[in-house]
Amino acid sequence: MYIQTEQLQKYYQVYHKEAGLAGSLRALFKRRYETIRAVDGVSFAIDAGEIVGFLGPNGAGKTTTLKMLSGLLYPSGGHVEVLGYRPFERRPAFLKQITLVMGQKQQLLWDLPAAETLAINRAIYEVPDAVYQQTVAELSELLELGPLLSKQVRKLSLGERMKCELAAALIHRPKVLFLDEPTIGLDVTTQARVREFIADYNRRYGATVLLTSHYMADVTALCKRVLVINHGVLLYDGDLQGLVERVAPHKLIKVQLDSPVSPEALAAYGQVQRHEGLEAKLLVERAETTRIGARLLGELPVRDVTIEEPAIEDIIAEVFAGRNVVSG
Amino acid sequence: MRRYLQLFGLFVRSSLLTRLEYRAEFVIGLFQSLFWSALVIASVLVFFQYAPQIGGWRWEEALLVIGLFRFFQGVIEGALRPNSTRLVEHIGKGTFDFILLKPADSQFSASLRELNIPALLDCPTGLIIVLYGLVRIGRVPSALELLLFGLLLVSGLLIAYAIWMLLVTTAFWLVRIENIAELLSIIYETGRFPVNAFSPPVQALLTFVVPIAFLTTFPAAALTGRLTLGVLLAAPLLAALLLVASRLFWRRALRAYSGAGG
Repeated sequence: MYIQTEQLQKYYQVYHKEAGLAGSLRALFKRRYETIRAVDGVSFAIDAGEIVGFLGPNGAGKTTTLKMLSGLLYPSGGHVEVLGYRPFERRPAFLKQITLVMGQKQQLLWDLPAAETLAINRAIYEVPDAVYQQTVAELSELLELGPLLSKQVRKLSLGERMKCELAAALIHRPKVLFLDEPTIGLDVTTQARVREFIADYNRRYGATVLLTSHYMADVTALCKRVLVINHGVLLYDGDLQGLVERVAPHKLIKVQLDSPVSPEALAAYGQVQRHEGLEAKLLVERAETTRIGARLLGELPVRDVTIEEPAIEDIIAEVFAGRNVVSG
Repeated sequence: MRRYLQLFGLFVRSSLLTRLEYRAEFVIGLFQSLFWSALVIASVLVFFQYAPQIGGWRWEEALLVIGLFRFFQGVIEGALRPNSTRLVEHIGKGTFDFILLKPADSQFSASLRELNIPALLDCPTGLIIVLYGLVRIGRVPSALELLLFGLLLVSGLLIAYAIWMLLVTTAFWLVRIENIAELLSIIYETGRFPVNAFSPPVQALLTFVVPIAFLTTFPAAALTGRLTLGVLLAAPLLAALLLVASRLFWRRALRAYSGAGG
């Protein structure tokens, strides 16, 4: 096992500030503390070479977990092990094998070309000359960096900066990548490019990747396996398809009619979600979808039938709403 | 060790490159350095209009103190303050995480990362003033005196670094430290006078509490035959003590930062 946690916990003491000036003044003398259970007993194990998506709404505990895995935060309880190390000891041998990319924060030197940051990281990670040249060449090719590395960072676009940021974070060829919202704020094309790069990097170096993202496309494109977390608790651990089947046992059939049909006639096929004029939407059991689609075409005056998967966003929203808590 | 020297070289390089992006700063920096030096000299010499000696120092001798005062001002503004500003920013933005996850000593990377090279010009200017003072005194210091001066200067550098680090490290809890830094700068202003110019309680304060005397007065004392054995022994000892304290405090701050109790 590359990454392993058992009953991992992180509690914070935050002080509760009352609104208004009077509240602020009171807080100056007497602070009421509150315990926030950011991560509350999370257990999972990730194998070498896996790409795992970490899903959850803001404040669910994703970033806190990533920070414990990378060694930034000391766990309040439980057990965490990455590559056989206890991350919070931050041993150089451990740090040389991991990386953390935070889409919202950048390590590149603002006024200088990214190449300068790369050179400094190279010295910090003690990358031998030949390996460094090769890595830069490979990353340049995969990320299509071209001349970007020699331009001042402040003159780069957001997408270009992110690509350079990835290069700086990977110059030591880490085995484990923690990516926190790596595509945030990027345009759709660049998002796709970064996604492709992560897949390429994983294939080429057999790296293990744990990533969080708000963009479902990132997760569906990259991750076979997902961890769903909310309120610091793991709600699901398993493959994405399984999550879809469990949480959304239905598919949606859209029917375009030639002539009006009575609501009762439609109700015989499935749960009617909408029926307006010549258009209708039916919720149908996943396994029955094809059969019912065929029956609709044969038995009713139907011009067209389309079958839709519910959007993953909706499924996830469903999980977070707590209506369909599942465990993998 | 070699790796850290190489790293420091890269830090200097990137500081230089950054400053070169704004070239006019260099020229302005040079003029500022000379202007402030003249001002400081004038502000001290004004006192010698009314007395031949201040605290037992003649004005030529006081020049050495002024030179050292300028030298350490260069160290503070050129090497210490840019890094503290940077660290406060890192902590505020959360980018300190990147420093913590690098396999290099975080105190090293956080405290020696950036130099304000135009501000460092005060260091050579200061040493030139020291040299001028020696010429005016008209006595060539012996090899031993020069050696002791070197020892006290290095001690002073380490003391300045350690005190500054103790201050900066509070940023992990306080987040904003400009006010404390400002207070320290104001106290440092007293360093332009030989410490003996002040009343005994203030002398004690500047020697034992905020040991600014170790930066400006005592190295100058080494070149003017005033050095006492007590000071000679105390300087490296104090430097070592403060360095250890700053190190322990830094580690304590990191524990608090990662929520490992404290």
